Order: sequence, then C-alpha cells, then structure tokens
Amino acid sequence: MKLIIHDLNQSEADRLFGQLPDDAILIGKDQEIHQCVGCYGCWVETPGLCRIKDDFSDIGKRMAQSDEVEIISRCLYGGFSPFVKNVLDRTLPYHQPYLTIRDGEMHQKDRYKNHVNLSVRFYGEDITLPEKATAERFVEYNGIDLHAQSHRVSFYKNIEEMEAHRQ
Amino acid sequence: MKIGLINGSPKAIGSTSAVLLDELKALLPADHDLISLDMHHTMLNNSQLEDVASCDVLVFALPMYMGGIPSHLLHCLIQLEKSLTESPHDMTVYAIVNNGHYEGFQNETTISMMQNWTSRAHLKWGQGIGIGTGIMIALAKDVPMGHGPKKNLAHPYSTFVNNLLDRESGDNLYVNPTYPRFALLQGANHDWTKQGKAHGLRKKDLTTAP
Repeated sequence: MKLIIHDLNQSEADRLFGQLPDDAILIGKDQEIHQCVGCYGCWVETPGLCRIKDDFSDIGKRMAQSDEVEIISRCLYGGFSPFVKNVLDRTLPYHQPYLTIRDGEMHQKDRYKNHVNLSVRFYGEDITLPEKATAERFVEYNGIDLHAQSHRVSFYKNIEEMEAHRQ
Repeated sequence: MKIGLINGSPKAIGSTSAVLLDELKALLPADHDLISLDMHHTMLNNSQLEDVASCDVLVFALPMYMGGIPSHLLHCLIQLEKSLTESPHDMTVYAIVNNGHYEGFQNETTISMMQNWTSRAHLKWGQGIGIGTGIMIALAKDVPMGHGPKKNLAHPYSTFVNNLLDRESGDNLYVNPTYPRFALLQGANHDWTKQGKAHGLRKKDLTTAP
C-alpha cells in the first residue's frame, strides 16, 4: 500500500494525483486532526493507538500497512508545513516506547515489521539554500527515526513543476 | 533589556521546556525585565503578539518532535513571522530544544529550523542549545546546576547566558546526559514497563501491533 500525505488544496490534489491505484491512500487537509500533546497514551495506555479521537487515532496502523510513504509539503523553515508535521507528530504510536540504538543514535524500537520507502517532495517558490540543507538533513533524520528502508527528498518551485516530474 | 521566555511545548503543565526556562531564569540577573509567554496551542492572540514584539531578546524552549518543531508551534511561528516583518525589530533569538533520546545533537535540525525562522522574520540569530533526554533535568528540579543530572548542562548554560546578556551570537551547543547511554536506555525502558503496569498492562502489551 502507498500512503500519500499532502497539504494541497483539492484542485491541486486532483491535478497532481489524477487516478490513483486502488491500494493508495490519500491523507489531506480535509481530514480532522488535533495536535499531539505528548501524553504517551499511545505507548502506555492504548499501545499502538492514539487516544485523541479524530481521523488520525490509527495513523500508526496505517503506516504499518504501507510499503511506500510519499509526503508532499510546502517547505517551511526547512521542514514540513503545519498540517503535514501534525500528521507526522501523530505517528508516535507507530513506534514502541522502548528504546534501542539505531545508526549510532538512540531511537524508539519498531512496533511493526514493515520498513517503508520514504519519499518527500517539498515545494515553494523561494526556498533558501539554508532551508534546503535543513530539509535534507530533516528527511534523513525521519528516515532513521521511522526505520525506513530508503529515503528520498526533492524540491520543486510549484505544483506544476512537480506535476511535470511525476509524469 | 526585555527578555521574552517562550514555552513552546504543547503541554500546559509539567513540561520539560518549563523547567529548562526556570533553570535559565535562575541564571539571569534581576535587573532585566522578564516576560513569560506560553505557546501551547495553534493560535496567538493580539496581546501575545504585542508582548513578543516588545522584547529585545526571545528565548524559545521547545521539545523536538519527530526531528522538528511541534506542529502547533509552527502555526505560532507563521503568525509571529507575519507580525514581526510588518515593521523592523531589533531582536535576538535563542532556542533551547530538548528531546527524549540521549544525543543532544538529535535536536540539530529543529534548532536549524528555528534559525531559518529567525531569518524569515528578519531577526538576529543568537544561539541554540540541544539537550538530550531533557526529562532527566526536569526530574532533578531541586538539584543545583552543575551537579548530578545537571553536571553537563552548567557550562553550556553559562556560555548561553553570557551570549544572551550581550545579545551576541555563538555556535549552537549540544548536551548529552551525565549518565552513560546504556544505563540510561535500560533505566528508561524499565520506566516504560512501570508506566504500562500502572495502567494494568504487561510489558508485552506495550509492544502489541494493532
């Protein structure tokens, strides 16, 4: 399954994604999301499931069913836009509470056996060089933290440019 | 000098960021005007925007979430950027970022994002401190700076405060906990099991994959 997390408006999404394969799931701003409050309920009360009752309480499970995660986000200060970052923040239940050492650093153990291929497409007309450099290191960090099989990052000026590269 | 101490944790009560700001406050001379600003939610009101705009120095304390700035604080930073760029401000920005892992350097990308925000808001970047396993500091509230879990924090905090008081810039600093990584990992894992037990769950329940 492919999970696509994006912050596009409906017409941009329709244009960019067109006909999606049956096993692709789109996560966009039309879904209700609340912020992660760092309660750790998804680790010690309802393991694997977020206690916040909205469209994202089972986001960890959905990540686990994916072999590919594609993120499309406006580049903000070298990271994701608030909506996309909110989705990522809510993936805490994808991890176990228990710690391990991965790539020489401390991270959470995997709750699931899958290892996603992570690809991130940033867009923005005026992304600065420092923001680009931060974004590259940020995606690399996400790749390690999610224990991804691979990670890729690319930058586009706008959706039209991204569309041209997707075809 | 007016110093704005901004708690950027989503937790209104009991955050590590609050403790790290308290530790900083204890090192600041009394003749400065300190204002505390809570940014726990996505929206800032006009009074908060005006308070920020009146400062000479801003110190953000925040947790690292998934390698970056927590999403609610991104909303706040967008509002602040808009408000601060409407007129020029002579302001210097500092950041204290903590994470739940061992290595202080894991906060590097988050500090870098705060630096990038500073540029977008046309402000001057001062310095960032990235603290590994910040909760160890929070749990040692009554331990004097430079001792126990705060042993490794004393020197970086002193450098940070000196730069802040002179509104100077410095290299970002990264602090690991005082204790060896293996011991901390075992202790933390033991604590998670204990927390699960408090909710009637066994160790294997915490690793379940729904």
